[in-house]
Amino acid sequence: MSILQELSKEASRCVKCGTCLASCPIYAETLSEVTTARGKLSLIESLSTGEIQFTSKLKDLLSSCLICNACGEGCPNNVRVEEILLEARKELVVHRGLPFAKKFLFLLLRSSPRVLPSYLKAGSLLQGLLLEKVPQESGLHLRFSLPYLDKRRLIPPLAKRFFLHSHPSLVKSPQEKRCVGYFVGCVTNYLFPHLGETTVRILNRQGTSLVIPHEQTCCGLIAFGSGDWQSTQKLALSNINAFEQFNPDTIITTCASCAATLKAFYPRLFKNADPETQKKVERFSNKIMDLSQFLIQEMNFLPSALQKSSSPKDPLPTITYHDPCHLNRTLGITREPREILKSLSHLTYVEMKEAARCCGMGGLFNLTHYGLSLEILNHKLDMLKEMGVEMVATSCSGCMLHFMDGIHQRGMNIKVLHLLEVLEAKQGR
Amino acid sequence: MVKKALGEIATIVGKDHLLTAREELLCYSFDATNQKFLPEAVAFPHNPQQIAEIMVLANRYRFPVIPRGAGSGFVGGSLPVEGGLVLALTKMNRIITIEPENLIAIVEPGVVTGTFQEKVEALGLFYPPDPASLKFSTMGGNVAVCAGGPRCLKYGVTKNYVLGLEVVLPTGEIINTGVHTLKGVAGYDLTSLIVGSEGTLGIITKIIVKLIPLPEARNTMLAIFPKIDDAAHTVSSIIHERIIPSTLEFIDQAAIRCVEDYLPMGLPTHAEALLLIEVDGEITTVTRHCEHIKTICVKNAASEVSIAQDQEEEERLWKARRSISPALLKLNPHKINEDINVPINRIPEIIRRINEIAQRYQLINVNFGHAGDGNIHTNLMINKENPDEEKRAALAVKEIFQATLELGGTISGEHGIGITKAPYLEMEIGKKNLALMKQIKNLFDPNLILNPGKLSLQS
Repeated sequence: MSILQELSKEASRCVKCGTCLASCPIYAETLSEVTTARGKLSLIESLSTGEIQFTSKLKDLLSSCLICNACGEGCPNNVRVEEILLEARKELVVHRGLPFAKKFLFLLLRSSPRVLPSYLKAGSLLQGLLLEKVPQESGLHLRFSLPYLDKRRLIPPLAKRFFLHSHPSLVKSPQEKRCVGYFVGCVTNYLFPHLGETTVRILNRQGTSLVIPHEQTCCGLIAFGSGDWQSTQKLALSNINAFEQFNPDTIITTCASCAATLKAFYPRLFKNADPETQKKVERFSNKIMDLSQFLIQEMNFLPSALQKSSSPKDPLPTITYHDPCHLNRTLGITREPREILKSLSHLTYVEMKEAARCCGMGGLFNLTHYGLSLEILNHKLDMLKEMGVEMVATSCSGCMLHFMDGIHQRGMNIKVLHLLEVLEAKQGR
Repeated sequence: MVKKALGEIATIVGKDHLLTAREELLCYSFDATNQKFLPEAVAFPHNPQQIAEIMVLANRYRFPVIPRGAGSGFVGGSLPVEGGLVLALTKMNRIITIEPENLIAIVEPGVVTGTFQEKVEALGLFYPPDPASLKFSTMGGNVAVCAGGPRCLKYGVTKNYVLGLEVVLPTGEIINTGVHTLKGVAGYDLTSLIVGSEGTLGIITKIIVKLIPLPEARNTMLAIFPKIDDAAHTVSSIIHERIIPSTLEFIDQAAIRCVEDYLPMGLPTHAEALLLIEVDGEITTVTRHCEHIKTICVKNAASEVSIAQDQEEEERLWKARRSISPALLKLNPHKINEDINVPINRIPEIIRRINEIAQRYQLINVNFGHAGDGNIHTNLMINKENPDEEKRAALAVKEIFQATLELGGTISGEHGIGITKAPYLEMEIGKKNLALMKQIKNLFDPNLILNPGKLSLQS
């Protein structure tokens, strides 16, 4: 059976009942079947019968999906929509190739680990030419629109020193009880190195040393989501090899998207590889843990013990949590981040309505469908406004960037934080 | 046929609201029947005037026009069986007004029923019709098929809440039917004629609905019956005692086993039937009715009756009911779901006869549904890759319909006729009624261009 036939067979398990219409954040905006899961699944069926070909129209339709998997989660027949769609995108690349911009970007990503950082280093020095500083914000605006980059967009500046350049590959805790690996991820490395520094401090304080292999690179999610499995496989092997020499029993991530890629998507990428490679990939994937999960499950972390309690007269600032799709639906982690937030004595935790609704980032979807991406985010921002919270925490760098952009554009006074920043807020400020 | 008019349609609705690429049309080629008919174009109108102009074109160029809501129907009512132009009404989705002082609301057809219910409930009001698809199906679609749901036992179906309509006729005129008041008897009741007409008489563009106060409280209970006849008798007894629960759902043994296998929650697989009962009203009434129903269940040999103590438990009880549909597909990949309806006291007999028919044709069948109003969803679980099984299923369906009619029932409680039940319509309503329906259709739609091929209306 060809790959297409296999996909079509799984797609045909969809009975077109329409339940996916209720959960799709894109359908909520477009109100058109061409963006629904059952629509896309029917296209994959038609593709395998030869009724349609790998046209550019088909590419457009299959690309208008956030891969948030809300449809798959709610599907009464448990059709694996996300898996089918990602594989269909791979087939599209096999038949049509990649658009030039993506081809160039992924080529850069998978080149030797020195190349991308050196480009970005130059970027960090030159960013002032293209971008102007946004008053009162730690962000930048483009001085003029570029392809894929809207002028409205808030762009976080590249860090002056990248995280991996400023840390040794082994950071020992003075009270070492165990040692774990740390997968840094691009956003932390290039944009928000303070997140990495905080991770190191928190874990060190818990008696955990970290190995941070310098050869680690991008997790590859943007290439995977675009159907470029070849580039993703290359990145995956670089990462797996980078950690293999240190052989930590656990590898921590602080970004939901990286976590999902390393843990859930890598094994899928190599499902047809030789058994030895498969085993190697599986060994790596099994070690991946989100920081919140590691702290709660392995460290019996009790943050309240660390916090000074404020006087009961002061109303505590309120904080809510946004579930990243990759943490919630891909990896099933929802409890740990909330446990951490609820245990903080200097903040009041408020649960967000529809906390698991996708923010609309969707990786490169945010670049290719910027307007739609912002419209989807507006639902979340309206919710934050209605709740009147002061802070929103999440654990995905993609969601963070998107929330920051949207909140800035709407001029809202809400702070976007990574969960681990909240843990340090008291000490840090 | 539509091709000639595409330029003009694009001028009417705007280029961005017209789909013509094959890939896009494929996404509008199906509904929840999972049958496939490719339209020639899909337009998203934004107001009745645009629809009226399109209908004028349709008459001039003689192309079929098929109104469509969420495409969640089970009988193929929104399928473009003869090609033509699909009018997707999803973008006409404004709630125009909710008037608590008049107990009415006016909505456009694309409003999602569940969204509307949330909005009115926030104001302490209630729009009860609750088809299982309410989270995605539209008000327009619900009105077009007169959708029901579990709650119609106590509250009635969609038609009991529609006071008036704005409709674009197939000939392109825009009419208003009915009233903005809770009463109104001026002239023929055209509103009722159009409700349930499955998009064959006009395109609904505004709906005036009646609202009622939101009940103060509700509670759910689950009763287990070792013998199916006792469960059926309990249903009759509850009604006989003049208690009308807001829902009274019935689940047979095959369904219980399926659910328990799919999602173990401690349901007794030896039991022949479960009743899931919800009562609502004032808090004191709810408590009293729960106790009374419990007594009735026990008297009728229920082996266990549990009343939900909190919302979490209520949710758990309902989970069993909601898991049936996905669980069924474990038995076989395809289900033929018929929504026959019999008088309440004939439920035990119809279930016996359905099981006998299924056995005779060697088919797996599962029965569940809205027992309180006699609406049983009988599901034949088949594998369509086995053509013989499909043939046997078709014969069984016909016999089930015959049995239903013999017991004084109807072949469709809430799904409608569309294309899948069209061959059986005459069995129920007879030649004269069908001829009258055809005459009405001709009067409204002389060129037979609106939603053709449905309801057996073609001569």
